[in-house]
Amino acid sequence: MDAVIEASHLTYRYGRMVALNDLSVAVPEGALYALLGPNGSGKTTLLQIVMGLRRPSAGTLSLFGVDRDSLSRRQRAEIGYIAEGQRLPRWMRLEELESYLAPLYPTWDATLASDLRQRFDLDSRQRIGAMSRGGQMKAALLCALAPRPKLLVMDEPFTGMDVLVKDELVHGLLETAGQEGWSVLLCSHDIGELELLADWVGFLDHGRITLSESVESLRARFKRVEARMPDDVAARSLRAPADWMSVERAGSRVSFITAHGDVERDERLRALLPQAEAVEVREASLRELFIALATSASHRAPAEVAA
Amino acid sequence: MSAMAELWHILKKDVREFRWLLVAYAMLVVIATVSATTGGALANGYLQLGAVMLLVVGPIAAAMVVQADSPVRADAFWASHPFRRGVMLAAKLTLAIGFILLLPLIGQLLALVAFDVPARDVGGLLGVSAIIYGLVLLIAMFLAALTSDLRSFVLSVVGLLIAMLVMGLLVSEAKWSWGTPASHGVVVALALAGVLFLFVLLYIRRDVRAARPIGTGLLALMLLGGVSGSDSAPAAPEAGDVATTQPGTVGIAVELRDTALITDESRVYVQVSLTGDAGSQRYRLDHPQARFFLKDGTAVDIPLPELGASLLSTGPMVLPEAPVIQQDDNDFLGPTARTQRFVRSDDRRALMRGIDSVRLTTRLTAYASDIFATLPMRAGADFLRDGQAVRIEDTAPGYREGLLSLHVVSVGRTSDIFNWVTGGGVDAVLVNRKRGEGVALSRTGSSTSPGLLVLPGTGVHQGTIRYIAAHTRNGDLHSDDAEWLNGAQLVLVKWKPTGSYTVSATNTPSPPDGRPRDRIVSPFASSAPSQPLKAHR
Repeated sequence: MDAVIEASHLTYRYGRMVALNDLSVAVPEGALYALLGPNGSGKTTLLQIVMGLRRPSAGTLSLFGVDRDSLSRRQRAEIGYIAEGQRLPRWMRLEELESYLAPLYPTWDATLASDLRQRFDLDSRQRIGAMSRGGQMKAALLCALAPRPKLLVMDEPFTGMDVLVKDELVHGLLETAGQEGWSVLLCSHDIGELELLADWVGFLDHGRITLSESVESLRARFKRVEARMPDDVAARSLRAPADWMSVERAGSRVSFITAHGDVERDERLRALLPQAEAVEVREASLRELFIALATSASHRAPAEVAA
Repeated sequence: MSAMAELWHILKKDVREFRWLLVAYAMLVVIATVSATTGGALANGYLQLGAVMLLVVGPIAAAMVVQADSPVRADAFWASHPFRRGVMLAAKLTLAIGFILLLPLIGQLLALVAFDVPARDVGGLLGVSAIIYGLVLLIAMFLAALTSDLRSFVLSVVGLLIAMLVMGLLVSEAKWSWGTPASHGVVVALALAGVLFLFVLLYIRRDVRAARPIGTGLLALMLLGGVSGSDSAPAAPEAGDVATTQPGTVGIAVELRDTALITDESRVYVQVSLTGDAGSQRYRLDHPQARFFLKDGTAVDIPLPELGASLLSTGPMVLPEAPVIQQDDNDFLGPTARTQRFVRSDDRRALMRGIDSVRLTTRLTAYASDIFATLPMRAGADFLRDGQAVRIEDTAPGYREGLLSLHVVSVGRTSDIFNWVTGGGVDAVLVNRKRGEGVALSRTGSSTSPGLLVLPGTGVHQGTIRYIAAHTRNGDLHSDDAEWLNGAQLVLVKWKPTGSYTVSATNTPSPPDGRPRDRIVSPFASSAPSQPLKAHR
C-alpha cells in the first residue's frame, strides 16, 4: 500500500526541548490513521509539520509522494485540516467564510457544504465568533470537508461537540472517507471514538513513534491475559517479564497485556504461568493498549514494545 | 484562481475585516489634512494632534492587518489553506502602501500645496515622508509578524521606543559613539535590507525559528545607525556655486592682537574681519579653525565655532526693491563686521611658547538678500510664501514691550524664518516709504516648537517671534511713532546661500600697528549700493 504521508527521521526542537525525536512514520493511502500519545508527546507538532505550519529541524516529509515544500497548489488544495484552537476568522459569517475559501479549492463541493451545514445544524448567517466552541469546530470541519480532500488532517476534532453530533460525525466521516477513499490522520483524546474510526494506529511517545500498525494487526497481536493463580501469595510472587504491560494483581488474579498474539501457543507464557488454574485471553481494546503503552513506554525501549 | 485574483480576494477580505479601523484612519487623515491646510491651525498654533494620532493608529492598523493572517503562528487559519504565501504578503503590503501610506501622503501633498511650498521641493519632501512613514509601517508590520498578538506587538514597540531613547541619550551625551555618518548609513541600509529579507522569508518559509533574535538584532542595528546618523551637520552649498546676485569683493583679514595677553591665562585675542565692499551680500564662516604657528616651530589647532554663529557683512544692507537702510556701526546692518574672539587652548603651555603667526581656515558661504514678505503694519496681516506662513499677531505703538510679534509657521526643507542664527535666515525691517525712512528690527525673543503637517519628513516649526526697533533699545518714544508705524510696512528679508568656498588667511607676525598683513580675496565681484535711506530717529 502506498503511503500518503511518509516522514523520515523528523526532528523538531522548541529551543532546547525536543518535541519530535528522529521520528519516522508512514500513513497508508486510504487509511484512517489515529495518532495516540500522552500529552506533550508531539502529536500536534507532527500534524502541524504535516500541514506545513512548522518546519522540521531535521528529517524529510513527503505527502502524496512529493516533498512537503514542493507540493503544488492543487496538491495543497487536496488536504483538509482542522485543529482545536485554530484561529478561525471570528468576524466572518459562515457563508462569508465559505465564499472566502471556495475559490481556493477547485474541488469545493457546495452541495456537500450545504448538506454538512444542515447536518451540523449551522446557521450560515451566524458569525463564527458568536458560535459555541462545538459550533466553531463544526464550521471548521465543514470547511475542511467541503473541498472533498484526499487527505484530512484532524487534531482533536471532536472538542466541544455534544455526543449526538460526535456520533453522527464519526459515522459521517467513516462513511464519507470510505466512499471517497480519503486518507485521514487524526489525533484525539477520545479513544472511544478512535476505536470506531481508526483502521491504523500510531503511538507517539516522547517525540517518537513507538508503534505503528493496522488495528487489525494490533487486535491480533495485543491480548489481554487474565490468569487465576492458586492463591494470593502465588499471584504476588509471580515475576512479570519485561514485555508484559499493565500488570495488575487483585487477590489471586493477575492480568496483563502481551504483544505475543498467539497466547495459547506461547510456550514462554505457559512456562511463566505453570500454576495458573485458569487463563482467559481476549483482544486488548485500544483504550487498554493506550494506557498500557503510555505507562510502560517510559520504561521500555520502543523496539521492545513493538516487537 | 490567478495570483492577481487571489490578491484581490485577500485584499477584499482584509478591507472588510478592518473596515471600521480603516474608516477611522481615513477620518484621522482628513482631520490632520484639514488642520494642516486651513487657517484654523495657523491661528491656534496647533497642528499636531491629528498627525500624532496618525502616527499611532497607522502602524497599529498595519500590524493588525498582518496579524490577521500571521506568517508565523502555527494556528493561523490561512496557513492551512492553499493560499500562495507570496500573494498573502503582497496583499498585506498592498493594503499598507495603497491605503495606510498613500492616503496621508495625499494629505501631506495638499498641506504642502496649501503652505505654498515650492513645487521643486514638493516631490522631495513627499519622498522623504513616504520613506519615513513607510519605514515606520514596515517596522510595525515586521514586529507584528514576529509577535503573536496585538498585546505583544504593543509591548515590543514600547521596548523599541525605550531602546531608541536610551541610544539617543547615549549618543547625544557623547558618552558613546562609533563610526562615521557614512558607516551609520550603511548599517541602517543593511539592517533595513535584512528586515525586508526576513519579513519576506517569514511569509515564504514560515516558522523561521531564529527570526525573533535575528529580527531583534536587525532592529537594534537600525536604531543604532539611525540614532547615530541623525546628528549629522546641515548641508552647505557646494563649492563652485556661482554667486548670481549683487556680486561683490570681500576679503578675510585675520589679525593676531594682544599677544601680550599670553600669560598664565593662555589666551590670545584674534580678530577676524571681512574687508572690501560686497554690496549687501553676507557671509558665514563654517567650521572655522585657527592654526597657531608657535615660535618653537610647532603648531596648535583650535576650532573657533563662535565665528560661524552669525552672518557677517561688509556694508549696509541693500534691498533691491526698497531703499538702503543705514544704521549705526556694529549694528546688524552695520558697515563692517568684526568678529573678535578670545582663543583658548587646552594645552596652556603651547600658547605660552609664543605665537609666530596664525592661519584661519574656514568655509565661507555667501548669502544674498531676497525680500520674501511685505506686510502692512497691523495685527492680523499675513503672508504665505515658500512654506513660510507669517501673521502679525500684535503691534505696539510703544517700543518697550516689543514693536511687534509675528506668529510664524515654517514648512519645508528648512525652517528659514527661525533659522536666523546659523545663517540663511530672515531679517526684518520696517520701511515707511512716504517718509523715506527705515528701521531695522532686532529680534528680542522667539519661541518655537516642532510640529507635523500630516506625516513626518517635512520640517515644520511654529512659534512667535518678537521684534523691537534696533536703535531704540535704550531710547525714548517719539511723539510721532504711532503715526509713523501706521504708514510703515514690515519687510522680511531672507538670506539665500549663493556659493560656498574654502578659504584660508594667514597674518604676519605680530604687527606693531595692528594692521593685517595677509588677506585673501574671495571670488565675488562687487556692485555699487543704491541710495542710502536715513534711519528713522
